[in-house]
Amino acid sequence: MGNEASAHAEAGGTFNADEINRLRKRFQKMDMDNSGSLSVDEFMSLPELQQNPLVQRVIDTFDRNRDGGVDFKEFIQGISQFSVKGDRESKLRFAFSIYDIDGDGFINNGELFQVLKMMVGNNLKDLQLQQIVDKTIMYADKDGDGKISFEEFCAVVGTSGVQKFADFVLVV
Amino acid sequence: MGSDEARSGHPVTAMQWKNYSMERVVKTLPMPLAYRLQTADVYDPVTNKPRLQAILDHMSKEGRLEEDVAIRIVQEATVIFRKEPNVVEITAPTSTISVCGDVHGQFFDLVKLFEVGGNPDTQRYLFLGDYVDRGYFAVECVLYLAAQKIHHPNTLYMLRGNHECRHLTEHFTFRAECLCKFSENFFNICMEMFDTLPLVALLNGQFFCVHGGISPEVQTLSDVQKIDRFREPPAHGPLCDLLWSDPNSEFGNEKTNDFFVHNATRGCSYYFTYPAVCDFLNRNNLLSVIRAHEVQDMGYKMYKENKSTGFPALITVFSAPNYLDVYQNKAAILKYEQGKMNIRQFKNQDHPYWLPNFMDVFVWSFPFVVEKVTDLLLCLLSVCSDDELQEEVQHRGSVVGEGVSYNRVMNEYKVVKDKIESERPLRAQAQLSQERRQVLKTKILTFARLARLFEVLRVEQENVSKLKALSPNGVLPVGALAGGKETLLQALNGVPGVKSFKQAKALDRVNERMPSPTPVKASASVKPAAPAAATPSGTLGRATSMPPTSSGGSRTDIKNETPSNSRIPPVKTAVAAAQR
Repeated sequence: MGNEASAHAEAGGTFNADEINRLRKRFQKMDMDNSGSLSVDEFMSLPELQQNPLVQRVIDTFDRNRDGGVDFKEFIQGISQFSVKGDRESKLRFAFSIYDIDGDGFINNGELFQVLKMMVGNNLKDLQLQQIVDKTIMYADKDGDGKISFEEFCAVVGTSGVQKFADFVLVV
Repeated sequence: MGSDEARSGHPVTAMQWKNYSMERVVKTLPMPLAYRLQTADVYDPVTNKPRLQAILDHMSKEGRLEEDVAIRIVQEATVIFRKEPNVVEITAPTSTISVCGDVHGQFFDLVKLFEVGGNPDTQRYLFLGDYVDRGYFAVECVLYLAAQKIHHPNTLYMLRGNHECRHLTEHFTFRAECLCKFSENFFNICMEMFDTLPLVALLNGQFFCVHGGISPEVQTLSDVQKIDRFREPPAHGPLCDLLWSDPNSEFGNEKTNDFFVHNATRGCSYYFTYPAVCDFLNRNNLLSVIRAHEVQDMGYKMYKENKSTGFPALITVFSAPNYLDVYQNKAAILKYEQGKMNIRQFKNQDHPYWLPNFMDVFVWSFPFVVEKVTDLLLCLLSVCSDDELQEEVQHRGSVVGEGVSYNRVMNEYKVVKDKIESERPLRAQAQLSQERRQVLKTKILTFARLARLFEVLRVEQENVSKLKALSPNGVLPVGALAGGKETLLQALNGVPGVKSFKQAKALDRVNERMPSPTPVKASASVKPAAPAAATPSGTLGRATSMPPTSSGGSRTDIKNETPSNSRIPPVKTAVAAAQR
């Protein structure tokens, strides 16, 4: 609460005071126990999110200090990634971070499998999912380190769907 | 995922409380081989031929060859094929010959086929074409068969099928497979090989063996010899017919005396009738026509006997078991030995899984990720109502933010605008005070800006809706479905009590047609553009999940429902067409 000026600065000046204020209202409304940090449960209190398989991953990407919750600063920073029109690179980085569970800048075999598994559920057998994960990495891994870097990721994703994502602007 | 107790806000590392393992999950599954065989691994320096077992073992584990080695194999086989006549004559000494039908990229079943037929060192083989498309291991089929040809140029024969051409391999998946596993150059070299494949085999002076069937423009074997085969097959004429024609559905029971009828299934060439075949056989003193080209539940079909010989006038053989992973058919080869024709059936083998059109998992999942993330963000922003957002802002008297309802803004805008317009005539003479004018102007601008903001938001919402439409029921579709394997599977799953082979055949019918010519397109990249997510899947899983998949489907789903033209255009296209 408060700290709008610092939050504003942290978000690289993406938001003006009114926007930060409005974001704060939403934050406060979600922060039901008033802890100053949004937990997974507080996110999941929104019914529409309960069927969304990527909630945990998005929370994890927002949660930069890895303390298990999203504080207001992290909230602002997270949302700010989506308030700039046409910034293809940052959107790609965000998408990359969805797959990169431990945030080490590489998507390895296990991470890729796990994230896809969240999205696929039981509609693909584990064996089949493993086979396509293996092949994707094998074909996309240009430097032979067995994992996918951001550059390798961008080369693979190419333009498919990225432009639409890049043009998406969150009006706060 | 991590347990709830761990997420108490204690500063622990991600690894600890999230409990994700970063290791490969299905450890018991062997990894595909990343090492690509080089010339030294493949070519025996003594014989100067490719080591068959080495490449078989390697490719069976999804390993690839280096491109230069692969090219060498294909080109060496091409040299051999080029020397063969249009009609290869196979005499029948004592050893068996296995006559094989369509393989369609089912490499793991091809391996089984060779076990059933026996070692090519001692057993002879005749393949009737269609080595590529539909199945996802066509490159492996081509390489292995080409290598076999190098070893057995005079005892292993391969004819051309209708799929051995640019038009079909661009429409279906072989070109995509080449681009994925090798390059455009490798694809072109395969096309050159296909141009050299002979058209007909005369087995023991008795059997006219061909991929499709007979032609009204082929009365005798010398008519076949006259054809210039070293080209892309045209959409009509004898070269087309030999590769495309079918027996008609009433074969042996025709009401008509016609010999050839337009083939509506294929959209080109003909159905030939029983009288037509008998006429051809009798004129040329032949026993039977052996062909492939049509999937058979039992892997083969014997047709009505020719009265003159008492032997079936026509035999179809088909060697791709559980065709498309859907038909559940048996495959067969014909083993001809010392005047006796035997059938050997075999079932399908397991094979590794590929997403449709060799799509990688990032291209597959990316739109889904985008949709779910944007859903989530919009949901977060909707947490507060207009009023809740507006409260404090109004109190501060500053420019109203986005939280104000659209209708309200537009209404106020209209009120202000009307007011200004109504004021004009009354004050025509008088001067609006500068200040008053400024205030009104600001208000209009403000509201206009708000209206524009709303417009942006509405457009974004629509974009999100469009994204959502790509995955109805919140499920990620796997690729082209219309006419694709998914459609087959779903339809099969959805219709109880129907014999699946018949159902599959009916649903797959569109893919048996000669594809329409598609406009020339620059093919920029190997990878497909967006996966064809537009078509909704039937059997979707839970709303949060991506749907069940099986290989098949393609990049963009252009279904060929238009009747084919009678001419293939001269320019070849980069494809964006459905398959399966």
